[in-house]
Amino acid sequence: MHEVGLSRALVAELVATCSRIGIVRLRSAVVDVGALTTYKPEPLRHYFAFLTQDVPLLRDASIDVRIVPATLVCATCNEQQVFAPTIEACTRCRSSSLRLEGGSRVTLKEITGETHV
Amino acid sequence: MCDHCGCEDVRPQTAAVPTTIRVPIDRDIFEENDRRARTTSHDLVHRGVLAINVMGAPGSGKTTVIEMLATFLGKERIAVIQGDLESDVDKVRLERAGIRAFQINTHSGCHLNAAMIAHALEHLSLDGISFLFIENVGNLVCPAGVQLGQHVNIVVSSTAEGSDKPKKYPHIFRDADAILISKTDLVPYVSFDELLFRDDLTKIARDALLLGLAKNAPAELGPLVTMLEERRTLLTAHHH
Repeated sequence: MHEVGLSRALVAELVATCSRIGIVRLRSAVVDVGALTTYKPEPLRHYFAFLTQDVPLLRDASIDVRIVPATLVCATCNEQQVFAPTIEACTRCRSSSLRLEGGSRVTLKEITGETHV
Repeated sequence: MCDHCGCEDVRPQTAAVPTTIRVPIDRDIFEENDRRARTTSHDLVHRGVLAINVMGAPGSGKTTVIEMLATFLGKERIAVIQGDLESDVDKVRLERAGIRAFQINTHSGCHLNAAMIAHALEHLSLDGISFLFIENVGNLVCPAGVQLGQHVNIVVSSTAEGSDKPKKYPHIFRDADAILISKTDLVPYVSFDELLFRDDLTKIARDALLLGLAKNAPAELGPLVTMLEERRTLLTAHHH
């Protein structure tokens, strides 16, 4: 159920974007999902397919969901490591001054579709 | 001969041919939500109101915490936007306690969003209000990270839910300014390891204010009341 709201927002965004560009039939979209958002690809694809059944512009389009990891950056030595909730210190210098970057956004990266010429 | 006008031009008419194009977009799906949230946050500060997003599992005690805070902050100074899938049970309960409240029913929606809050604020008078509590839909997953226009995040986690909640649901705890362990009077009857709970929290929310809270001991909320008053004073001072 968590992905319903995101799927609705994605459908609205795709309809607006396709209309703006002049795409009359969407074939695919690439969506980057931050790991911290906890959205999962499979339910997102499921709800997207359900919600686009009655939207001719988007019907049968596929979405490629890519999970983008969050990164922990050490404020002392600038070492970067993929975020995990249990990491307390920098793996290189053991500093506990870590900054969390990325992984919290959902971004429509690219669309492919048909346009009439 | 041309069928259209009768001229001699007999070139074949060209039908529209579909062409496939690939277009880079790079657009944040929640951009509109976050824009609304920033507008709400700014408007509330302008009116001298601190907005507090109260999150936690169903039955964790979110409404009870708001009622207890109301006794310290003053019922006439607080308003509540109440989020639930269905019913207005908690809204009615708050109004009976003399607290101004507005109900949002999300139906299938598992969390509140900025548009819902903006809509609620069109109907909820904030005259004389200093603190707006937004009681989110009971859920430890979905409300995390969703911007509503709030200035403070509170997470309520009851002892009856067990001590593994920070480990299992780290995202909602990470952005918390205050974490309340509610129903501490149930500790003799449930399996709750407070040291483990606190130890896990130090790994993900080390700066959050952490308080235990028993049903009939509102004084334990004192540090949170102080924090909310200070945050409001700071926000208002910055604005003016």
